[in-house]
Amino acid sequence: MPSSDKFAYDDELLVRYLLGVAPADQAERLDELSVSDDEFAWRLTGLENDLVDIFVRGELRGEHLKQFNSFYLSSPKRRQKVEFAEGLRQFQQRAAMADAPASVPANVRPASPRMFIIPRSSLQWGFAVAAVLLVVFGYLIFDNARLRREVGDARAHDGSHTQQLEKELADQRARNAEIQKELERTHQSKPELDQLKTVSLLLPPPTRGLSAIKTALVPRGTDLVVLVLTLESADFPEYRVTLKDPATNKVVWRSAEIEPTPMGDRTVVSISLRADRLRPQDYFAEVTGLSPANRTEIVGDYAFRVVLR
Amino acid sequence: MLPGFEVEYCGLRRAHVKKAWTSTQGAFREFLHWLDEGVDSDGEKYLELRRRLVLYFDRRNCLNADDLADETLSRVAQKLQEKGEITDLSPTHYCYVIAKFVFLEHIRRAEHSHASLEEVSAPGRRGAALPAQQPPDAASAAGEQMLDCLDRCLKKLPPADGDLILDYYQGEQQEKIQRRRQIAVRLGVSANALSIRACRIRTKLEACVRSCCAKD
Repeated sequence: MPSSDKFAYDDELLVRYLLGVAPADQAERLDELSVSDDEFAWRLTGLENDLVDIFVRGELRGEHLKQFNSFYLSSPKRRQKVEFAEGLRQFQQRAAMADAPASVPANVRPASPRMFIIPRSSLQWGFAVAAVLLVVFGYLIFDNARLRREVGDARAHDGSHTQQLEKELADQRARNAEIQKELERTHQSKPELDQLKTVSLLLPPPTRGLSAIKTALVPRGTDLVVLVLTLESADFPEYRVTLKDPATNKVVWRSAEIEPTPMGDRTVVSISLRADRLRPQDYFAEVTGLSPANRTEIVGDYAFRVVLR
Repeated sequence: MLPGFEVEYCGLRRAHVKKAWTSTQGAFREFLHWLDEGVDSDGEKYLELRRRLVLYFDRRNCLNADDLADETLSRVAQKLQEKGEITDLSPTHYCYVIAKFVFLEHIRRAEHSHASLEEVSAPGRRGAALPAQQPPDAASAAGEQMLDCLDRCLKKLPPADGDLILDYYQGEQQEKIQRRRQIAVRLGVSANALSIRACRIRTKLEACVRSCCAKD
């Protein structure tokens, strides 16, 4: 067979060959070219590198993924290639995270590089709702005082204006009563939230550079681990977070669709998962943007380490 | 017959010439010269051919791919010494022909000795069983070691090569393609030439990391 036939093989066939499912007659010819032809050997090596990289990034799908798991990973040497690719990916990821502190504003950056633990606290959204209600309630009390002053002043002037202000004050009291009830309901629900022991970890957007991996110290008895993932930019209306084990690329946990929320001048995606799902090891949270047109795009991998205490 | 020896020639540190035939330094030098086809590669051609042979046997799920690659090279060197010259096929093509024989003999030997067929399955057949999963602590330690070795090995590369490897294999899908185009333009080389260069660096880096992890 002429050596020029090497150009006849498309990448798809070569991938099938690497995954052990090329037709026998073609596999024989590819075997020969893989040893005897310089250009072909390098092309095959390049494809193999990319294939392994795609696998470790969790982008391999369908039949290719099945063949990869059943054939490619059956060889110790090929597994070493996968381990190397995973190492290279993590190395690049760590390098990317090193630049993160410079790009995160001070009000978003955690006070400590390690995680902050909130024992016996409510969930973050419980805090947020309570905080908003308190601010509103405080404003209304202030506004009441203003109205009372105005009513007192107005009594000296015209009666219709006084009536209008008294009506306004009554409305205000009614609104106060509603807010007060809402605040009480929030307080009543707090004991349930208080019973949850929660650990939170803020992760900056993955960028280039070298830095230490963020560590989540999870004390014994922790119920929930909350990850707050800072987005580089909020380009999608919804996101999904997939937690993966970097050593095996297996999915450990997957979120439902989550809407991003503002935090300072950044946008974050928050997830909470049961602490007993996590082991003492490295993980990465893969954040995928979901567009209304069903377009998905992986927007970042957030590496972190779990240490159980 | 001389015992097998470890060749130290032209930068080759671990070229195993062994089994039934053993070479002298002179014969091995002749073998390297023949592989180089007139252009001195300082042993690079030999190492690259051995790498390809190992991959060939490994794709056929031979657990002892390294030994079979060495066996192939050893037989080719022996043939060359016996014949004086081999001109009907190119060196790499000739090596492939011999590798095929070595593989077939390997299968026969395995069948005769009732060895598990999992060890010598043809492409497409399932190979050895998947490894047992490491406990999390061990996996984490191995991961740290890998990263440490990567760091060390990257520092051994020329800085431009280190930058290239990190840049070339960065990103996903479209972003990666675009990035590679930009690198090729920046370096003034074709996409194909860049791909080969990146592959060579990665192959070298992988070998260094493997060796580093084995030592630690």
